[in-house]
Amino acid sequence: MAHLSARADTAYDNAYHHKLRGRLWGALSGTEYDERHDANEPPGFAYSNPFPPRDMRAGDERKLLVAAPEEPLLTHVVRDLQTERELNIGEMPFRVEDMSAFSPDVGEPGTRGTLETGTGLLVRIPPWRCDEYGIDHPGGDTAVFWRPEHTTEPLLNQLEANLDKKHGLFCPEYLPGPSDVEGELFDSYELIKTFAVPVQVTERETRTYVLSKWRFGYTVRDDDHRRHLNLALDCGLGERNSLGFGFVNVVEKQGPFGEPAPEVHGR
Amino acid sequence: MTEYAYADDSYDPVENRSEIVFCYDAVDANPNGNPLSGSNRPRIDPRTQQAVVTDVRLKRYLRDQLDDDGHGVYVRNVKNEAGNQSERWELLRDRLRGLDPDEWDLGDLDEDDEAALREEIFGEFLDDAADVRYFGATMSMDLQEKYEGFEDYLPDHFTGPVQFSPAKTIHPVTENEEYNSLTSVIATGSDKKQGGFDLDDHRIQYGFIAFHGLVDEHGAADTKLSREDVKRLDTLCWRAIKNQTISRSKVGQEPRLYLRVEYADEGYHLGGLTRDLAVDEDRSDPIENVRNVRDLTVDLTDLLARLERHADRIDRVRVAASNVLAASVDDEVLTAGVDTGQHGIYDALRERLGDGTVDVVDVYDEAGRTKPAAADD
Repeated sequence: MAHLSARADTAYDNAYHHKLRGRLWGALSGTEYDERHDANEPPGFAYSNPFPPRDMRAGDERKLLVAAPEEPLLTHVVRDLQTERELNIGEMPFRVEDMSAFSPDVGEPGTRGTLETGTGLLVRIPPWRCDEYGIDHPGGDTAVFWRPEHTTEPLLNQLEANLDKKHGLFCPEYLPGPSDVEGELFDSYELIKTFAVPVQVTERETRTYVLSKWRFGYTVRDDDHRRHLNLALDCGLGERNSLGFGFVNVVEKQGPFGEPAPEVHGR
Repeated sequence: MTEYAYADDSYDPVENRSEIVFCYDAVDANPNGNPLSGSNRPRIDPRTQQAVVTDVRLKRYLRDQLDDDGHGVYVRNVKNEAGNQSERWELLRDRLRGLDPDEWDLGDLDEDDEAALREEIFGEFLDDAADVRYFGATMSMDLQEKYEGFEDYLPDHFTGPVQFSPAKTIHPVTENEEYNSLTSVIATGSDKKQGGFDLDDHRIQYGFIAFHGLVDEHGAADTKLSREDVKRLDTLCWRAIKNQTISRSKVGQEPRLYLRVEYADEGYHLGGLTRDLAVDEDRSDPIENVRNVRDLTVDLTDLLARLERHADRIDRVRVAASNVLAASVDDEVLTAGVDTGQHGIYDALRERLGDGTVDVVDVYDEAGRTKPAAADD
């Protein structure tokens, strides 16, 4: 977690994704993680927005969370932010005041809790699966952004498939992935809102992404399920995590024996 | 009645001795740093290259888990809650203050009176300090002036009936020299350096750690250790490693095998059960190449043979094995079954000790029943 202070009176800039992504990839430049930049695979990190997300005055504090399943990756990011303490996220100028580390955990088996997608979830339905879900496809190779009228089934399928892929990349191969086990990742789904944001995906190109914010309720079934949910905390849910989408926080947690969990991070 | 028994018939005292084998492994972790080394390097036996984990480290995990579960804990992790140790100490002090010395004729106390006196002063404290019941504690109370003479009837420290020995890995380990740790980066990069500590980060690549523990039924009455407390160990050890190894240098540790042998005869135990564990070299990667539990097979031949030879002295064995642990006995390889709760280790134990003797611990099913509220029911 980076503890930031605003360097000027600034309006909150919702189009921060591209700039922040640039800084994080910059931190990984020249490292063993650099090549992931161009690989068409989940990048292995996820990050929050600078929060709380509202306009700020010079000196106001904000926080930024960066998560990854591989600690050395985070090490490079931390080194970069410590070496160059100015952090300009779009039109928002910050200074990195301090860094701290923690390991979020959904809890031991039996724990109930809620994950919230802090930065919006990006899920695209590939054209070849649209028929299966009864979704009208405009034609061509373009994927369809998930929307509420598509029902939760395709969304959950895509989320699981995506997490499966991340499991294959970042977890020991002898351990079962989300699709290898019985049971769902979540036991409740609350859609908070759907919204569209213009996102600069490259220097020249801006696209409008349709995102959704969710609260997912979970009950940890066993160690495998715990690992899957913790992987979501480390890698983000859904797609384009390198742009900051799909970052999830534990917002509620109740231990298996009724006592409230000692800590909930990220609020 | 032991020297320091208590007049409390509401709890079920421990009557059987237990011997514990508790194994967990560590991947890219520092299972027990040594602050005296100046760089918090993993403790490694310089001759055998086995990593060493102190009993203090394990007890810290167990205490923190007891604390998280809502049990009273006397020796607390300072970083968690500095206030509670003094609260418990105050509880003890208040008990003493409430004691009227004139009610006790110290020259004429029989065994029952002595037990009642101890219960009066320490009883509630022990009920409320689970870690002291297990591991004991040292404390000095000021028993001068009007309480002079009482010290002859009260313990000045509690000897823990549950003792773990320092553990070693069952194989030599290799230190991971150049580990780029987030912890060290953060600690040295901020302005909040702690003086005197070199915060370099050192880890071992892989270690399979075997702890040996003993529950002494004779010492149990001194701290009011109950049968329920001992049964709680069967889930506590496992969950403590699962839940308390979240910090960066401790992450990568997983419980692999838990075995509590409860003996039938008073004062009897086999001893040294962890020394019967070995790496099955024929079925494991060369030890310097082992990077995770899948590269290793643990040889349980000697352990099971020894238990079998003394089966008539064993009341029961409570056992839990990780479903990714492979073990071997003679020529047979033992692995997990298709369903949860099946493992070849369980069957091998049943074959040697009898079905009724072997009791598989369902950690998460059972843990809820040993929480403080359940224990009070």
